[in-house]
Amino acid sequence: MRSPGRVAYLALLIAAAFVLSSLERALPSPVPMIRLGLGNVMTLTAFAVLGLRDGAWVTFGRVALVSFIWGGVFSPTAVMSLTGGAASLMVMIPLALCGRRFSLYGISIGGAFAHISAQLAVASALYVQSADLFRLLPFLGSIALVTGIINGGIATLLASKLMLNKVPGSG
Amino acid sequence: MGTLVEIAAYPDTNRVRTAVAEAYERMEAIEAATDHREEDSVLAALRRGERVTLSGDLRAAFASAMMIARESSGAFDPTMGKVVSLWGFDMDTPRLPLEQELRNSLKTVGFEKVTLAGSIIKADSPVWLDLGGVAKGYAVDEAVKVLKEQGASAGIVNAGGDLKAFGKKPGGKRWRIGVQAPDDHQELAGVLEITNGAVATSGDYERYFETGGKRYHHILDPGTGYPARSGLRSVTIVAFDCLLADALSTAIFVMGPEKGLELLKGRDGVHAVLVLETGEVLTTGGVGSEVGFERR
Amino acid sequence: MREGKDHFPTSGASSFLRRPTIWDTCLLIFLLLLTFTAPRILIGASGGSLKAGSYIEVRTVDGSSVISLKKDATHIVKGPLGAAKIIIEDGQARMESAPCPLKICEAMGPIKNAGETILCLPNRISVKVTGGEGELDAVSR
Repeated sequence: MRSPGRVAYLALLIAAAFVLSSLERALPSPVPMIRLGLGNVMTLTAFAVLGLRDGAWVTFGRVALVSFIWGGVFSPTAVMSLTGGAASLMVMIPLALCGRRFSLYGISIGGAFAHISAQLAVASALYVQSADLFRLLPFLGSIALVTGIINGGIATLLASKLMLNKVPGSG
Repeated sequence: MGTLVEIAAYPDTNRVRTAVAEAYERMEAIEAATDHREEDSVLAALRRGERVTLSGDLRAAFASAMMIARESSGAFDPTMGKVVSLWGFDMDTPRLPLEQELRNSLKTVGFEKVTLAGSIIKADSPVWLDLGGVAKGYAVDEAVKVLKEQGASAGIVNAGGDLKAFGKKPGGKRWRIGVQAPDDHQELAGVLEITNGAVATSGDYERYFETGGKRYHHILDPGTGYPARSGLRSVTIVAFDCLLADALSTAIFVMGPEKGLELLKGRDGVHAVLVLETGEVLTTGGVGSEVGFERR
Repeated sequence: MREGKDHFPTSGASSFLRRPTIWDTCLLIFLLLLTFTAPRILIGASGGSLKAGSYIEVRTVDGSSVISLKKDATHIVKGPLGAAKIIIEDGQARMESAPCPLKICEAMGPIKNAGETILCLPNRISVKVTGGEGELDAVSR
């Protein structure tokens, strides 16, 4: 059971993820072609601070809010962000459960790579009907790995700061 | 034939690869047997008025050619050898013959003057056979036979645009065959989709020369000895056999669209795509239903 | 980075807060390799062709149109986000400018071989090369 305090904490992380995703979406990207995926930083932070299940909630909450508020629940972009979010969780959670071998850095790059691969796969299947889009993987995949490392770093920093203040829940 | 032959066959096993090599050999043998240019060939002996026995391949190709000559009332005629060599289209050194030469050589033309008894050709005067109109198609059909006998489940034999395909290609899709547009090598008049069958085209753009401001192409009308002017730029025939497709496309080119389409009536599994001088594309009823067709 | 346990009520989760591990590095190397090898295998397996096409099929929310690759031209195509400029030059097509935020479609071109595609999902535009001998088994001539 989650205490009211933990629920509030989770809500806070979802809200932060939503704001970061929205900003990335609304503001012109400082470097073309590159989206940092800062929303995932909140998921990673939740992994560390609250646990894996709450981390998954942060991702789904963020995707749902972004799709609802920025229009078109079934628009291609919403389908893409849901696909990317679900795929990254499907990689990040097993990595996290992997006998604690991986730090947030590893979990983050795994998630980022799964995110872009799944998006390419779904876009290929739904809109192109061939694997041609995968010629973008070397380019987009490399970017994802770099942003994955950056996000892992930010999440590590953020989570350790947060944990210096007591996280409500058990005490 | 002097044309590039492309053969593809599936599955890609050692046995089928050997079959492809055999198919090439088979086609070369047929080319050698039906070539009239060699002085010691059977066809050269026939020109000198000698009594000759036809080999198996020569006999088969000749018999088919005679059949189509009869059916087309001579619009396709295998005895055009002298006229063809006068124009030089068979030697890649085309020239405009003199009126008188042409009239004289036309006297040697006439499939009805020739009969085939067993493997022996009977005629009262020397016969100038030109099997160019059927040899390529016959060779393609024979190559396909070799491939099938040697276990190929699917394949295509393409002799410079006259081709035959069989079986399901990998992926299960139909064979897609482009039909070339008359004036631009890069453009297509359309794309045919077939499962089993042959496609052959006769077009005035294939071989021609220009002199005195006039353009002379290689499809000669046995009636006049001159390049056929029937309002057509090209005739593409889909049929089960490449030989039939090859010969019919020539006959219909000579006959023109109206009489030509008449010739196709009642022939099951034979379809045509005609490109007219006006640029219009005519197709027979089965094109678009029995065989797929996309216009370009 | 490793903090004392007493700070962390959710004890298990804290183990993620470390510097990158050797496992992280291995994962990174593995994914890098995958990034560069996977496309070749996938595109090869799906029958990607290396033969030049002769048309592009441009699909938008309003419908689709077929444009020749043989003639150099500039085409303005409308999507929900605005107008995109497609340029055809030397038998290749590319997305010259697009109103989407990430401009991945601009980074995708130029394309010329049958089957190659430029996709701009935010603006709902796809440009796919078709036709040409690339998709043909033979040409009858």
